[in-house]
Order: sequence, then structure tokens, then C-alpha cells
Amino acid sequence: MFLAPAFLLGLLAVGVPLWLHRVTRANPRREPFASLMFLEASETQRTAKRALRFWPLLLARIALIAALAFAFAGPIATERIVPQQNSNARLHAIVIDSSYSMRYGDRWARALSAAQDVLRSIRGGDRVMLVRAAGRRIELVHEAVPASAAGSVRAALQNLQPSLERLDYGLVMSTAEQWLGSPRLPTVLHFISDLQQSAAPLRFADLGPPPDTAVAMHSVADEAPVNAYIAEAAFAGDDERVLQASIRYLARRAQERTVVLRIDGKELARQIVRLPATAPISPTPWADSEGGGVRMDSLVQPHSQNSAASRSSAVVARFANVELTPGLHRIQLTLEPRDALPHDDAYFAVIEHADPKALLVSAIRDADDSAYFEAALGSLASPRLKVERRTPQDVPGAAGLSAYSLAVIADASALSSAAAQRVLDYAAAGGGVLATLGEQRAGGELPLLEGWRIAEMRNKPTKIGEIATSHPALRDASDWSRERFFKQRAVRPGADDKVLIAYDSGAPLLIERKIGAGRMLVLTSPIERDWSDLAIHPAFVHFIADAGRYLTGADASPVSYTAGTLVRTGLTAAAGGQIFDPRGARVLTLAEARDAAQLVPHLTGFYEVRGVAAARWLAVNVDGRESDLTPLPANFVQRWQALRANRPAPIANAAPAPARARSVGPLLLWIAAALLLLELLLANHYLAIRRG
Amino acid sequence: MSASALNRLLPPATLASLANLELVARIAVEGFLTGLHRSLQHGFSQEFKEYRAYSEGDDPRFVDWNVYARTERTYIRRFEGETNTRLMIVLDASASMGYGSHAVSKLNYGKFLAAALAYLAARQHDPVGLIVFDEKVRTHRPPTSRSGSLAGIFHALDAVAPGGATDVAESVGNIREHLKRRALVAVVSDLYCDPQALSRAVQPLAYHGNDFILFQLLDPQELQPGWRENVVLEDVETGKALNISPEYLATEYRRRMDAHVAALRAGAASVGAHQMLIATDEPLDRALRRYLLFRQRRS
Repeated sequence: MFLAPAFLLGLLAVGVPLWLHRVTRANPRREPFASLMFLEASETQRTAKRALRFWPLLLARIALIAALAFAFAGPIATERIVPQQNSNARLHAIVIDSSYSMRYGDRWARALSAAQDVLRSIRGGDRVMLVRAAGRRIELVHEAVPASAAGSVRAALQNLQPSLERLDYGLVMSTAEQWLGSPRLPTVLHFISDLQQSAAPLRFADLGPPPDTAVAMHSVADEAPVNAYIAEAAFAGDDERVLQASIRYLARRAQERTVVLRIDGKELARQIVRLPATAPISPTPWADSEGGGVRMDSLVQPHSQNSAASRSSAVVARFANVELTPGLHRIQLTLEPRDALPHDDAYFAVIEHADPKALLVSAIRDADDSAYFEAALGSLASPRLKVERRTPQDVPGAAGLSAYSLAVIADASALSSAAAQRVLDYAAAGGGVLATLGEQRAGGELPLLEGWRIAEMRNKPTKIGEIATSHPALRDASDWSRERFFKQRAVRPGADDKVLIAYDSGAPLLIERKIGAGRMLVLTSPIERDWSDLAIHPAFVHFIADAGRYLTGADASPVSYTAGTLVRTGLTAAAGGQIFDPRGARVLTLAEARDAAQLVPHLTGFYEVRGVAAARWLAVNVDGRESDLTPLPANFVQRWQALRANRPAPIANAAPAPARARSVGPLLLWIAAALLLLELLLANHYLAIRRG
Repeated sequence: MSASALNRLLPPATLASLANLELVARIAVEGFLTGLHRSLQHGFSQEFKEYRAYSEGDDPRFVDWNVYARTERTYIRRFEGETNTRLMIVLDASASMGYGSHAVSKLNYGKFLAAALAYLAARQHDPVGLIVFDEKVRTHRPPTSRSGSLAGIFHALDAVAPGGATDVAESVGNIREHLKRRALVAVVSDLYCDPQALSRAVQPLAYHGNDFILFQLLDPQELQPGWRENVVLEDVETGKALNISPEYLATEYRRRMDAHVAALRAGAASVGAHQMLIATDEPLDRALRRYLLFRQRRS
């Protein structure tokens, strides 16, 4: 079938090379020669026979013209997705779980072997596709091809590698309809996985397959997997100098491991922990301590991590007297010796201890709000902040601001555009800002609060209507309901901003805005007696204390991220920056450096984020759920396989499938290009001989 | 780089770029001789060998006057390798010799060869002469070893240009009148002639004690034609043209050419002469080496 059959008339041009070759035969060249003593005139048939030497060139030219004519005629090849003559044909979707747990032992090799077995079992009329599932991505490695082309799927299979990311089986099944495509053949979804219990979704219904799809499980799980990993590190709630490492494990027999604590790359202490065998009744675990200047407490309260979901147990190692200076610190806990899943034997975290300096920016030194803020900040016991005052004109640059753990802006409207930008840069790099709208402010936008619409002040007494008490800065905010507000102004914040406290009227009083890696809390009411009696109530001091701790990160626990998840880097498009992965390699190319606000880390360890003002660290770990190798119960898997879609299938086996038309023209053009090259080579070959 | 190596690296096309024929001969011969090992006993050193009584015709420059003073008899000094052989170079300058498929035509190659032979002979004080012919003898310089004769030969060779048609056998027969005394006759030609007629022409000269060496110069295109398609070949002497197929050139022509060369070789041998086939893309020293081997056998 051709789209433009008139172009087939171009085949007549085949006569041109035929004519040219005939003319070439008829006009031999004339050459001088020393003597004709041994020569005789050749016979005619010899001349005709000589023309046979040009057949390769002639054929190449004819094929070139034919290919061009056919290409421009627009040939269409049709391929039926569902061959009507074979109603038993199936689409085999091979889905390989590439999550971190597949690195355990020889699971990955067995998974590849299982995939090869599936490929070998495919019948002639079937089709096959290959899918890799890990993290938040379901990657179509090889699109559906006939069984005859399974070799390319086999080749693609060899290039796959397990990742460090987590897989949720619910994600695989709930998105299956998209990556399987529709319409399609009746499908067999071959799920090759270790069938971890921790990868099961919260809702069992999420495991439902798409219509007309059967799930075939190929388990590569081990009968009794063994693994220990550090699931968490945190400072004890009662003593901020005690660092606790939670170690979870599955073990057939008791074992001893050493937990090594390194801070900023320097080993601080090590501790031997005994991991009892995982059993319904665990013996009492214990821990030894050795060496170092830090005292190690004995532990441990072993407990089943989640007896309903996992057979793994946990022990806790405590490192006492961990003194951290103000600033950013890298904490690394390592289990030694490493086991079959080495990446989860190391736990990385970053903790920021508040720098005991706060900057109070106030236009009028003796103003009430400045005095209230200074008094409230000065009364804090933890963190104990030393307050420095500046005027809006003296706001230092981003580098100068980075010396403060908190910036308090008594009147946001008093900041110039340049000063506001410096404060925003400080916040984007991880700083904390507490600001109030000034008394004089009336209408329009502020440089510090871009996108906000601020209305006129209204003299209307009101009270608090709603408080987000779950917010860390509002732990003791129950008293706020007794505060009286005499004036208020309506503020419409940005779409991404969060209203934490609102008046009865619904107008916001306290708003949180995230700026890069930092945060800003904004009170829409000035701390003035004629606006409210907030400043003279204890709730204000409690609020300043909680907000100070929250914004400075004084009570922050060690922070880490999970490989494969989205992380905010704190870099901005305007300022740019660079990120180095744990191996020291640059993560961002020059083009990407302008869009570096977000990062999806694929390695575990410390990523270094270098911005304009300062460098930050991001700690990345394997998702602990991947390290829990407890397999799904057999009855769970059976129920999963028994699931059937409630919806009707979008296609019927008996119905003729629509034919997929594919243009062959581009392929013919490629062939024509190859023939042109061949013709050039042949012509050059013959011409070179003729010159000789 | 030694002169020998220089010569071996000088193909005919490079020699052709040298404007001075004497320079060509000097480079070819000196380089070639320097490369020879003395143990080969080709006899071209200049070391004293013996005294011989003077006879009429000997060059008086070689009379040892000291011996004459002591004995009042005239002796001449003989040197290692000295042969006292007259060399007559006979160069074919017909139109067919002007043919060449590359930078050096057969005539040019013949001129190089003749110059080298003349230089080689003069170097050992042998009289050397030159005859250039096409349809008739165009240049004749009788053999002599006088100073300046070599330059004259070079000058005569320089002036040679391809002429008209010729009958080589007849022309070789006609040089008898120019050979007064026995000599080594070196014929440089493409030898497009009847081998039997050539033998008949050489035979009486050979009987008179002349040694004949026939240098048959052929272009590579004549020995192995490379045309891959029909070609009209035009005879440079007669202007006649023939449409020839590559199959014929690859089979019948080669067979006929091989038979002709074999017949020439056999005919030459039958009259005591020596035929030597040289392709004009071969280095010149190969021809010189075969020439010297020939002379060594004859001495």
C-alpha cells in the first residue's frame, strides 16, 4: 500500500544507468602504444562480455533509484497487534524488582535467570516486554516485541543493575495500566522479586492488576535471610549529649557487631553490640564498650520492631558525652564487619547545632516591639541566644548573616529591596527568619514577602480562631485563644505558604513560608500594645522560645534523606552552586547548575552542597524498609495472585484489533543512503582503474 | 647515506629528473660500484697488477717511463680488473622507443643505461663508442679512450630524440661498417623485430670476434597491460589503431610477447650473444649488475 503511488513512475529512471552503461561500452578510449606487432582487433562479443564487469555498479545504481522511488511513494506496512489467527497469543510483561534488597546474596543473579526462563517459555505468537521497577520510577526497558525478537530483550536484561532505592509493590501494580499500554494482548505480568513484606502497600487493594492481566510471581526470596542495619540515629530526649543508634536485624544465630561513631570524618567511639538470634522469644541482648574518650552505656532494650509486619528485632546502642560545637556536623555510624547488604551497614546523618547568636533588625532602637523581642529572646534557656541589633540599613550580606542562627525582623516593611534580598538569600541557604509586618504598612507588596497581598488595617477587636498546634513552633499555643487583638489586617499569602494561626475572621496571623532550605515565620500583627496584648502575656515568651528552637534547629534531630527521593538542596537558580556526591564527583553539569534547587540522590553518604554563602551537607541513606528482608507470607502472595480486576477488559480477544500502520519510507531512505555510498565506492573503484 | 644506498633508492623516474646525463651516469655507476663487495672479484679496482710489453694502439699514458729508463724497453702498467675492451653502444632511437606509460620512456631509460655503460668503461680506460640509429645511423662516434670522448658521448646522447620507424635487425646488420676492430657491442633497443632476422644480422659480426649483449627495454604496460576495458591502441610508429579487449591483452598478447622474448633469447644464444630483458621501471643498477656479470664470464 502506498500513500503516493504516482512516485512509482520514478522507476522509469532506471533506464538512465542502463543507457549510460551502454554508451560507455560503445566508446572505448584511445591510447598510444609502442607496437601493434602482437595485437589483433578484438571480436564484438568480447566487448559485450567486458560490460559484465560493471554489473555491480549498474545494480547499485538501479537499486538506488528504485529505493528512492519507493521511499517517496510512501509505502505503509501494517502490523496487527492481535493476530486474529492466534487468539491464544499473550503479552508477557517481565517486571524485575531492582530495589536495594535485590542486592542481597545471589538474588539478582537468580532474578536474571528467572527472566531468562520466562523468555525461553514464550511461544511463537506471543509478545514480550521488559520493565525495571525501583524507587518512584517504573522504567520501560524494552517495549513489547514479538517472541522472535526476544534476543534484544535478553540483551537489555544483561544491562540491568539493582539500585539503592526502595520499591513499593502498590506503585508497580497501580501504574501497570499506563506502562503496559492499551489496547494490548491478554497479559501475563511476570513479577520477579524477593517479595519483601516491607514493600507491600498500605492498602491491599493497590495490588490489584489491570484488566485482563494475570500476575505470575517469580520469587527469589531466601528462606532465612540474615541482615543487620542501622535504622535510625537520634539524640536522647532526656539528654542531648547521648546519641542513640537503633540497629535492626534478622539473624539465625547470635552475632557480635561493632558500631563505630564518626563525626565529621573522625572516629569518636566504637561499641560492640550482641545481636541475639531472631526468634519468637529473644534472649536479653547486651552491649560492650571499649576504648575512646566517650563513655558507652550498656544497653539495650531489644524488641520486635513491628511484630505484626516483621520478624526483625532491634537493639539500641547509646553513645554518651557526644559534645557538638555549634555548626553543622556529619554523623556516620557504621556496623563492622560489613554483611551481605553493605550499604545499610552505614548510617549517615547531619545535625546542626545552633550558633548562639540572633540578629534583631529594628528601625527604632527604643520601639516597643524591639524591646519585647530582645527580652523574649534573651530569656531563652535553650538555645541560649546572644542578641545583636542592627538597623535595616546595616543588614549584612549573605556571608555576614550566615554567622547568625536566627534573624528577627521587627518590621518587614522597613527593609529595602537589597536588604530584603540579603535576608531571603540567608534563609534560602538554611537560615531561620522571624518577621512581623510593621505598623505603618498599608497595602501593596513587600520585597521580603513577594506574592503577598496586604490589605488596609481595620479597627475590629477579634480573637484567635484556629491554631495549628501540631506545629513545632506552637507547642504551647493553647493560651493564644485568650489573647485579644484590637486591630487586624487581611493578608493573602502565597499558594505554598502555610497559615499556622488565623483570626476568627479567617485572616492569617502567623504564616510560615519555606525559602530554599530555610524557613520564615511571619506575624501579620506588630508587637504593639495598641494592636494586641500578646506582648504582655506569657504565651509570647513561649512562642518566641518555640519559634527560636524551631527556626534555629536547636532541638533538631540528625537529618538524613533516603536514596531515590526528592531533596531540596537550598540552591537557587539565581545564585547557582554545585553539588558533589559522596565520591567527590560533580552532580550537576554546567547547564543543570542553574536549576539545582532539587536533587534525587542515588548514592548513600554525604552530598556536599556548595552555594554562594556557605557549604551544606546532605546525608543520604538506604531506605530502612529495604533492609528488612522479612518475606511476604505465603497466603498474602496467594491472595495477591488471586486478585482480579473488577473492570471489564478494554479489548476482547475475539474482536479484530486495529492494525497499526507504520511507514517504511524512512527505512527506505536509509537504504538509499547506503546504496548511494556503495555506488560512490564502486564508481570510484572503476574510474580509478580506467585512469590507469 | 652511502652512494650505493643512494643509487638503490633512485628509481628511473628520479634519475629522469636530473638534467645532466653525466650526473646521472656518475650517480648510478659510482653508487653501484661502491656497493659492490671486493670479494666478488668483479675486477674494477685500480690496484696495480702487472707489466705488459707495449704494443701499437696502447695508450702511451700508461707507459711506465721508469722501467723504460732502466731497461730501455717500453712496458705499460696493467691494473686489477683492466680489460682493454672496446665498447660500442648501439642505441635504438626509433619512435617506438619514445613510448612510456610512466615518467621514463624507453628511450630515456636507454640513454641512462648507455651513459652508465660509457662511464663505466671510461672509468677503466676502455675505449667506448656510440651509434644511434632509427631508420638509418644518425650518430656515430668511434670507440676511443681519449680524454673528452666521454663528454662527447654524453653530449650525443643528450641530443637523441625519438625518430621514425625502423627495422632493428637491418640496422644492427648495418653497423658492421662502423666496427673496425673487435669490440663488445651493447645494443639498447625494444627489439620489435623478427628474432631470426636479428640472429642473422648479429651472426657475421659475432664471427668476427665481437661480443654482443642485447638490452631489450620494454615498458611495464607492454609487459603486463593493465587496461580493464576495451581500448583503441595506436601504433606510435605507423599510426595504425586497433580496438583491443582486456581479455586479449591478458591472454593472447602476453602469450605472444613471452614467445617473442624467448625466441630473442634463444636466437641470441645461438650466435653467442646475450639477451637481457629490462623493464623501464626497474632500478638501473640491476641492468649494470647483469652487464658486469656478463663481462666477467667473457673475460
